[in-house]
Amino acid sequence: VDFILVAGDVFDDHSVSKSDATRAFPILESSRDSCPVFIIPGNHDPLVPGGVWDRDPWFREQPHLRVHFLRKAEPIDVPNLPVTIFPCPLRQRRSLDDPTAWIEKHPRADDGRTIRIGLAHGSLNIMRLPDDDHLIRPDAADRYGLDYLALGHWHKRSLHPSADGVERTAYSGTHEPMAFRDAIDGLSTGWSSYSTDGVAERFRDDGHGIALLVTIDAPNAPPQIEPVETGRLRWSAEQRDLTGQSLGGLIKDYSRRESPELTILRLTLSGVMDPQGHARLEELRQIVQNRYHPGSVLDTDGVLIEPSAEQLLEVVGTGVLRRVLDRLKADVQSTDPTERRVAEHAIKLLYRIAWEEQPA
Amino acid sequence: MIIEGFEIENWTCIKKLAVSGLPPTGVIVLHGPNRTGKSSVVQALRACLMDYPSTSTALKSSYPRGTGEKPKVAVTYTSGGATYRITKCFGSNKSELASRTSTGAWRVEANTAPEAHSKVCDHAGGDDSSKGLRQLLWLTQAEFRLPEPKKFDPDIQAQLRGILGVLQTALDDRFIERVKTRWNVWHGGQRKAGKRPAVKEGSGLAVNLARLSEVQRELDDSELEFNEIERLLQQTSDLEARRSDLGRQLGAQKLELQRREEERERSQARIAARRLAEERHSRALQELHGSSEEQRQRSEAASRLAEAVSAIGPATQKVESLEHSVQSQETKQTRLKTDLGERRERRRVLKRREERVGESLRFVDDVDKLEVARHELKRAEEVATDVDAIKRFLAENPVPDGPTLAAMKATHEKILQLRADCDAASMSLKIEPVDGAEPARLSLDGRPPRPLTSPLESSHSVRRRAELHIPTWGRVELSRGAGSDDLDQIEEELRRCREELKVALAAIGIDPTASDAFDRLLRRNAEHGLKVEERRKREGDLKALAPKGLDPFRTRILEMEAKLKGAGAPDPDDNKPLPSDRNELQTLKADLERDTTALDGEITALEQAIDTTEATLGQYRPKVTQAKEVLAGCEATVTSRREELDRLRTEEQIAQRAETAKREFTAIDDELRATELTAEESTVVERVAACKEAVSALERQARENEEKYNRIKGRLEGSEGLHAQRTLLSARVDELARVTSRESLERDATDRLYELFEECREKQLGTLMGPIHDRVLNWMRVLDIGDYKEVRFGDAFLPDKLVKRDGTAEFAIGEESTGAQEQIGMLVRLALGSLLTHADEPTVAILDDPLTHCDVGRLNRMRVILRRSSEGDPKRRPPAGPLQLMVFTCHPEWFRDEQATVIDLENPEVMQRYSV
Repeated sequence: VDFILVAGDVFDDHSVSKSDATRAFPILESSRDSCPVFIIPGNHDPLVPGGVWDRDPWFREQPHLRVHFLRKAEPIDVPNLPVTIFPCPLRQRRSLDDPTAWIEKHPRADDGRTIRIGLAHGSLNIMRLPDDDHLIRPDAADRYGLDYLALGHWHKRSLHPSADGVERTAYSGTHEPMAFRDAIDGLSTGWSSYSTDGVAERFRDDGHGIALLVTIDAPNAPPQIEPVETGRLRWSAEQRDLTGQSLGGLIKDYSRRESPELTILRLTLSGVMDPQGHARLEELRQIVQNRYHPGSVLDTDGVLIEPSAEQLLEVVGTGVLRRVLDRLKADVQSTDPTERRVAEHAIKLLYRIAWEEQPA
Repeated sequence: MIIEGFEIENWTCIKKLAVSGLPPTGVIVLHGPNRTGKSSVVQALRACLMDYPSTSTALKSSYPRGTGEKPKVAVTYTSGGATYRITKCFGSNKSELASRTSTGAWRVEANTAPEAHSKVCDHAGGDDSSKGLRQLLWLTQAEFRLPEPKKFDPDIQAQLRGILGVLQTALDDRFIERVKTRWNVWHGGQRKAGKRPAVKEGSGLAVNLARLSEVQRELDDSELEFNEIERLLQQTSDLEARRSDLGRQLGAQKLELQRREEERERSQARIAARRLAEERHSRALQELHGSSEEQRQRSEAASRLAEAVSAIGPATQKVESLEHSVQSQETKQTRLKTDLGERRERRRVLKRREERVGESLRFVDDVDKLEVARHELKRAEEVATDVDAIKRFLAENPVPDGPTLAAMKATHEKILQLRADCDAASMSLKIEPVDGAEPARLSLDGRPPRPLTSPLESSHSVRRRAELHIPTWGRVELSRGAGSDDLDQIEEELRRCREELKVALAAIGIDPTASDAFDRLLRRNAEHGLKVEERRKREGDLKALAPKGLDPFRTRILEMEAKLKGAGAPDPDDNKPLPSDRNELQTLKADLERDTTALDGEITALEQAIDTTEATLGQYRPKVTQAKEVLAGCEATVTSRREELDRLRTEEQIAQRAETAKREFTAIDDELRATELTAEESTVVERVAACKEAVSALERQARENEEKYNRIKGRLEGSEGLHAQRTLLSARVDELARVTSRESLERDATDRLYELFEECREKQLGTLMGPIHDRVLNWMRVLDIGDYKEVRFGDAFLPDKLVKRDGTAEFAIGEESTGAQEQIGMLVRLALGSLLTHADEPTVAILDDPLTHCDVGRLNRMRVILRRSSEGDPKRRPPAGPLQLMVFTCHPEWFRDEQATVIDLENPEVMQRYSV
């Protein structure tokens, strides 16, 4: 690899802590056998006065050993390579301007011996999008004579062909997945797209962390684009039906998984089970909370305890508890969701306590 | 178990007690005053039937003091259809339990202390008389509250459960205990029906909720800060663009300034020459205008002086005219005042004479009054003399007061009655001598014998003894024999009454020996009454004549006399004599009043005329002053105008000044034309200033822009870590929300279980306790206790709450009066006791000094309830069994009725006591 392009959003925000900013720099700067890294600010970490790029170590005199933070919209030649990079740094979260527009003032020279690469952060204007989402014209690569336009902003990998059918415009997607696959609610804690259409499809990853390995042999040559999996974290939203299942087996399964600390688990249980097994759900909850990556949750609201009529008589007897159970069953039919939820949980509790209090 | 009888010996104060033949059911009243030993009987029964074997040493305090005797208690009772007799000699091993055979003989069942005690406890249902059914039915002295639910015998509760139905299973008990334990993790105290309980401080949920609230607040603060930063972020690019634009404008403006300053330098010499010419021209023009102005001022000053001089003449004439008018009015006023003085003097003389006539008239009146007073004094003195005479009479002839006189009259009446009684008790002796018989002599009752001469003396009354001496014949003696006590008593009483009357009469000065002494008393009393009435009347007259007494009356007359002597002194101003006749004096007074009235009219007219002239003068005087002031003002104006004219230059001097100024002005006008400036030269200074102003404005804007930019930059720099903070807080909020939500659900579910359990248990309890509830409530209405529609029973089958008839309020039993608590307690005891008793096995209830807080009205109704409950009611569902109600009381009337068995513990045949 000759050099790396980071198309914005190194940081989730311009106000990240000093420790985050300081930890990120040596990863890119000091790695042995690493190549130059060209970075532009994105809409999450725009180049604003007093922001992360204005602070040490990112504010040190350029060039660094490997890190090239590109503050200005002006062509940059890659050292020792016939490559010119056209960086399009962002200074705003949202903007009506096309960040690549300035490249038009720098047309390809007649001799055409340099590979021209655009580096930008924004939305390729190929669909209905918010006007202020740093919209980039769809034919930017063709219009500006770029051999390749490396884009950031969208979380999913996507390649876009130019007029000649060659794919010269590409979003690599995020290098770590940021959401449960097919999740319909929030992607991850504290993350915001800053776009007015919120959590749109373009901000959903496919559960993998990806980088693109791009090879361009010569100016005007079609780029060869190869995805490389880089993600380590795994977001796993799982559902298990406990009906007829042994909870012990389930506990064993989740306690023996590999690298649980790298898995963000959302385990939703459903089905019918006996009160004895229900009591062990807490054990499973402890495993999920303590061994898996922070943020992992166990949802047992869907687990039902429904003994047979004989079990019912055996468990609750003929005293007051029997009447309590009847009342709770009536509550479960309530139209009030809160009352219904409390009643369902109370039934589980009733069964569990009554079960535990059965004479030995 | 019921008790048929018992015998107690040597138990505290009880020497011996024997009760037998007690009915198996109904009310048995054992009564005796306080300290009879009622409670000791109850203790002995408890000890014998359950609490102690005879070998127990715990009863030494029950041994009779100072006797050396040991207690012995024997109780005959029926249990399980058989009759037993337990006999315990306490302080020894001597105990015997015997059963009665069908023939009536006693068969020994056990004769050792442990065995006998064990068997009798089996029959009684326990070895503790404060437990089991006795906890309800065997009341210690004045015990009025029901047992606490927690201390209520579980066996009895189990029996009640067996009769009334399953209320709460053991599983229910364990379940609700678990639920309560869980509930107490989040809540404190007791759960109250219908109220959502608050989360307990210090509980994990409360801590987490507080943390969540705190973290949420921090997150909100962070979000606010984030939004502010975002707003600033949007401004930064505008500021940067503005900075660039301002820099460009400032450069251009500075260039223009430099150009204009160079132009100004070039025009500087011509501008200075022009400015000098303009200054000189201005000064010449000013001098020319000054001379013209001075000329105008002098002309105006001369004209003002002439005007002031002409105003002095009219002002002088006006002053003189007004002064003449004032003098005329003052002369007229002087004349009027003289006339007024003369009239006033004449009126004073007339008034003085009128006063003297008035005095003479009052003198004549006083003389008449004095005469009348003297006459009245004389009459008063006569009346006072009469009053004194009556008082003397009353003092010399006293009478007893009303009660004394009544007593004396009664005594007199009694004497007459006693005399009559004596006479009635006397013997009648009739002597009828034959014609020619010598006169005999008769001695009656010890009096000396006297001859009987008159035939009229043939009948005699003999009280004790009569002796008749008949000449030639001998003596006949007639004596009352023994048994004359009545006569003696009458005579003694008669003597005492006479003596009493004598003393009373002597005390008021009436001779008691006189035969008409009592008549005298009556006459004196009547006369006394008349005299008292007369004295009262005379004193009334005297009061009318001399209300304050004679001496003040006399003093008043002396004062009147002195006053008359001092009257009639001559008036030195009026020698004219006055008539002494009243009519003449009144005529003279009327004449004088008429003359005075006429003079008053004249005086009023003169005073009005003087006032009129004074008013006229009042109008003239200010006018004179005003006219004089006008005149003085005119004179001062003339002086001032003259001085003003003198201060100005002369006309010649002014004309010369004007000529000089004209010449100067003409000379400078040529110079002005020569130094005329171009349009650029004349505006270059202003244009330089405007350009400088523009540069300053741009610099200021650039400075402000930069300051704002730097402020934002500083603010953004200060936001370092805000993202991490937001992320962290958001994660913590999510985590805490998840935890608290789960725990809240757990809490809500637990609370719901608790709530439902209580509701269901309450409902079930209501159903099961229905029969007891209805019976107790019915009795409460009979007793007229409160206005309740419901008695709520608790887990332990004991009442917990009272519900008002309208259902609006609940009360704890303890909130009722002590009396009501005692009565409700008794009703519940009877209801539950009856429930646990079978028709073929009645139960004894021992009530020691019960219902002490009950009023008479309720006691009457309670008596009926006690009797009915003792009879039982087999028709009830479940049936109520009969009771043997033994009531120990010092108020037998509270519990006794026709059907009750009453035993008097004071009856020595029942109980003998040691003397204390």
